[in-house]
Amino acid sequence: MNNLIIQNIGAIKDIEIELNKINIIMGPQSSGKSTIAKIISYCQWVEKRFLLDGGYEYEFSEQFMEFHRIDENYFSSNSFFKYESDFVSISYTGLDKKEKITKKKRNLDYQKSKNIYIPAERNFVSAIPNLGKFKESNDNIMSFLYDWYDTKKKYSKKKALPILNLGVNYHHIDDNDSDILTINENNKEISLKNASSGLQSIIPLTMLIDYLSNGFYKKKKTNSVNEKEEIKAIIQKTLDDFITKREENTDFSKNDVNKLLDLVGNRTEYHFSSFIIEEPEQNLFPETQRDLVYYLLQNITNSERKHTLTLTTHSPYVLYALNNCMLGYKIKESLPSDIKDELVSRNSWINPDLVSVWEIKEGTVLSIKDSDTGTVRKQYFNKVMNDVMDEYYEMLNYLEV
Amino acid sequence: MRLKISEKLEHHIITNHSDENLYVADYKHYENHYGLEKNEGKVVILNTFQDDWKSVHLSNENQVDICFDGFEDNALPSEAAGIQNSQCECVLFPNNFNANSWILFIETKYSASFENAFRKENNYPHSMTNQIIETVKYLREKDIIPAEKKVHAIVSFPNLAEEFNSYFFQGKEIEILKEHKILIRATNSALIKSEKRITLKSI
Repeated sequence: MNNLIIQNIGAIKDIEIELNKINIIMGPQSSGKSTIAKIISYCQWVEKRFLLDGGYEYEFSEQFMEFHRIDENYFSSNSFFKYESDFVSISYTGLDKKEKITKKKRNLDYQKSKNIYIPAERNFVSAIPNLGKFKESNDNIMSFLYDWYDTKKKYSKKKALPILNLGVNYHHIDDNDSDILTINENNKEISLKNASSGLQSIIPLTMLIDYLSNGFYKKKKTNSVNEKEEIKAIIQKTLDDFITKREENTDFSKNDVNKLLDLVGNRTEYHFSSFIIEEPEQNLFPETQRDLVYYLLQNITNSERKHTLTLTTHSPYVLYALNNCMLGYKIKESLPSDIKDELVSRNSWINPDLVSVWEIKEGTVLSIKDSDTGTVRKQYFNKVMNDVMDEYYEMLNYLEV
Repeated sequence: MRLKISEKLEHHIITNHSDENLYVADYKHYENHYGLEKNEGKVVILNTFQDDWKSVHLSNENQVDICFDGFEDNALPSEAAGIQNSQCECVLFPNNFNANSWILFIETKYSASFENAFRKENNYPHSMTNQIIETVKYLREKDIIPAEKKVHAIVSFPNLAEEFNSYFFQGKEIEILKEHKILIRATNSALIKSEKRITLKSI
């Protein structure tokens, strides 16, 4: 597992977490959820560039502060973050963000990943037409825009994307860059820019999940110049090692050759996607929030690829849905098949050990999973509900009945 | 109100308390555990927190002078022979009671686990709510509480509330308020603000 430490950055005072396959970060507004998600996203990107390009030559201020729209005031002299995977260690310290990136022994086993950050502001791609004409900038919103433009072209009328259980299909018309929704019930078409805010929020999200967890891997991708140069350098070094071995009268084995082939494969092809999604619940009715969670987990867990997912959320409904998926996994052996068939979550069940759920509280994190059941503790839901009920009860004092 | 109770329910013992923190505990529960002297089944009110006792906490930051009536077994006698009225565990109200003062009823259950608390045969929260409704009804009929006065009530699971208390009534609290003029909440604490104001807290 990958380890992340963050100290004194924005609202985060001191956290240390082990990143899991699925990571859920709960917390109120401005508690630091996005700061954690953005640091994870940045570190995953640095790891990829550092290992695939053979070095990291980018500016922190551009690639983190500007890209993720992080204010300079988030940092102080005692700020620190460190990301550690099986392959690298990355850290930044202090106000001047002193950078330290080191390779680990296993770095040659690193597999190239597709990293995608889906920001809370995603609706704008649906709502504003002709976005391609907008001035480019280097931030996660524009990056998301590029991903959206690349991806939506795959969904022609013949390959329309069904949107959860909402009875709506999306397709794109390339000629005039139109985003069209077909209402299944009456076969009527409407433009995405005129659709509800819920659809505008969910369509870019589900489309990217659908494509990047499946279709993306069916197409051959080209590698960047830096990536190719680094692969050449590694092959050169490995061959040099082979020659040295031969000079020492030690033959290189078939196993050595296989390792080299694996290494080339690891670096030239994409192997899995790392999704980071801010507030997937945006503008969605509770039932749709539930279906979206089921959809995300179905795509991510049913793949042979080791996709990962990190979510920030305010919504207890997201946690309720997640709980169903974890509980389903736990009881699946004792569940009669006819009952199982009735459960909407059945294709999204996930081993609770692969899920971490944290609540951010006063700059620190607290796991809110029950150690016995592996699901989210009922105390958490109760606390969330009580926060609303306190005001309700105060007002009931004055209700004349 | 104190006078009315004393007149109409002569055997009731009402005590006064004005400490900043008060703790209502089921003495019977601890009597069994600690071999304490019997006290006729009454709950007790304490002014210090007992580390190993679970209780209902009443925060009384303005040190309002409060009357406490912890009900003994069969505290609400029936005029019909052989019938024992259903009752909750205690009632509290300000000593300087007037038409605008609050009245608080408490019923506690010391279930050790969620599973025990929600066993069908226990019939919680219905049975606990019913004990409070019957107590309030009795005191209204005796004209100790005015017929239309809104009162407050707590159903408490001192061992458990943080797990589920917000889901206890699921909207039925409005029906109870409408039908019985009882503002009821599942919680282990309340905040006494003045002789007129009390807030049932979340846990």
